[in-house]
Amino acid sequence: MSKDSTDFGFRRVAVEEKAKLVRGVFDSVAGKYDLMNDLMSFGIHRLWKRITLARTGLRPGMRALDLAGGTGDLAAGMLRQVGREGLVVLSDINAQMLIRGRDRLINDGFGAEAQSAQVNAEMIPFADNSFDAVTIGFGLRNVTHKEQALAEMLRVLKPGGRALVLEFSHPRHDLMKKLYDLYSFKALPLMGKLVAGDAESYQYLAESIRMHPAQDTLKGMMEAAGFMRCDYLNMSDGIVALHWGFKA
Amino acid sequence: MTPEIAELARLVLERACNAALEADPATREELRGLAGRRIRIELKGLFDLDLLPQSDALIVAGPGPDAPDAVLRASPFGFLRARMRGDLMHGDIELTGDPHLAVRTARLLGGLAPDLEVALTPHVGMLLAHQLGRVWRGVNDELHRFTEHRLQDTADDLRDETGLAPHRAELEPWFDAVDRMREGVDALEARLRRLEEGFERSRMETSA
Repeated sequence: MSKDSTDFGFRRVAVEEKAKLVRGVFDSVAGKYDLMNDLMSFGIHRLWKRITLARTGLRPGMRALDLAGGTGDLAAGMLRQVGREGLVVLSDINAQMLIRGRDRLINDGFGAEAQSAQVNAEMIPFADNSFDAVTIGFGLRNVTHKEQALAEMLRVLKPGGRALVLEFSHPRHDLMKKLYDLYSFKALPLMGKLVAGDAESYQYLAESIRMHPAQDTLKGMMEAAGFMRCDYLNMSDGIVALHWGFKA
Repeated sequence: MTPEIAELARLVLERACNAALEADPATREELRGLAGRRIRIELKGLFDLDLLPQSDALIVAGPGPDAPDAVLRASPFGFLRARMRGDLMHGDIELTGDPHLAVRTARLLGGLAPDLEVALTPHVGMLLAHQLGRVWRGVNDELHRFTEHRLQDTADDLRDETGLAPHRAELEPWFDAVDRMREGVDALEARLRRLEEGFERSRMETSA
């Protein structure tokens, strides 16, 4: 395995190529992103995000950063928590997704407390100790250097602040694993083809989930990055896990 | 219970509470003053949930890694009984943490009447929501009756079985005696006042 290669789904690609390929995936699905999320998860992704929002610890006046924020579900929830006197920065590496998220926040009636920025999670363009909470929802698996992204999240957090990583993970039971494999490798690409006109991007989704670190591995990575009191919550039998850690 | 099912239950409860708040501007305004606080409700042996008041709504969340500012703790039956009385302040609910916040929350919750039908309509449609709402109201009424009967049964047991509490008939003479004594005290007070006034008048005549 080449040191300068990384995974893109089940394929190995050059490190510098991955970001471009991931951007291609999200450029392709941006228009149908919310609809596909509802279809693929049967709407349960809304509950996963609610559970995440309940753990941000945000209060009126606080500041939060939503990395890989997509169409802004988590950012909108956090904006309600921090109120008009707070600040939430919606960020995404993909301009198409970011534009949709920014427009959604404007349409939801948020004002100057909602900011947006095109951000690579591996190089966050904010000063140290800037945010009370940093979230990344269904984004970390697409990041080439996950350790670097976790280190950056820690850097921009204020002492006592927390990072929340909501991501697909690994089912805990064999029967669920089999059902999930069947669903994600057969049904998801078909759904992608029929609804978004793009089977390949949803094939990548299924593959990238399998390549993402399992629950305990990711928890270890967060601890290695310097987070304290790390833990996780399995949802839907581990199909999705919410990890959190605090900055000392 | 999986995190998703618990969250769904909390979502329905949240929608019901917020629909009730929509129709109750005074409570909504008071809730605004609690924005940013975390109030935990612990139903012993059943589940815990956190109330997170926002500037314009109430969020009902699962307990997370954050310590609550105040806790309202009770058995499900105790909570139900207090809720049926519309008063969470007395008896069955244990309040800890910030006492002022706990009392304010208990008062707010005691006066809130969530409408499940309104909360469910956007999710399951008007027809099913109406049916579920009817079931909910029926269950609520039954619980109300059950609670009242249970209280009545407990009172009967205390009177008839254990003899720890007297019958109403036994209390009547005592109530009558209390009334007679109160009237006697009132009469005596009036007589003393008249004597004082007479004494004061005669003292002024003497000095003049």
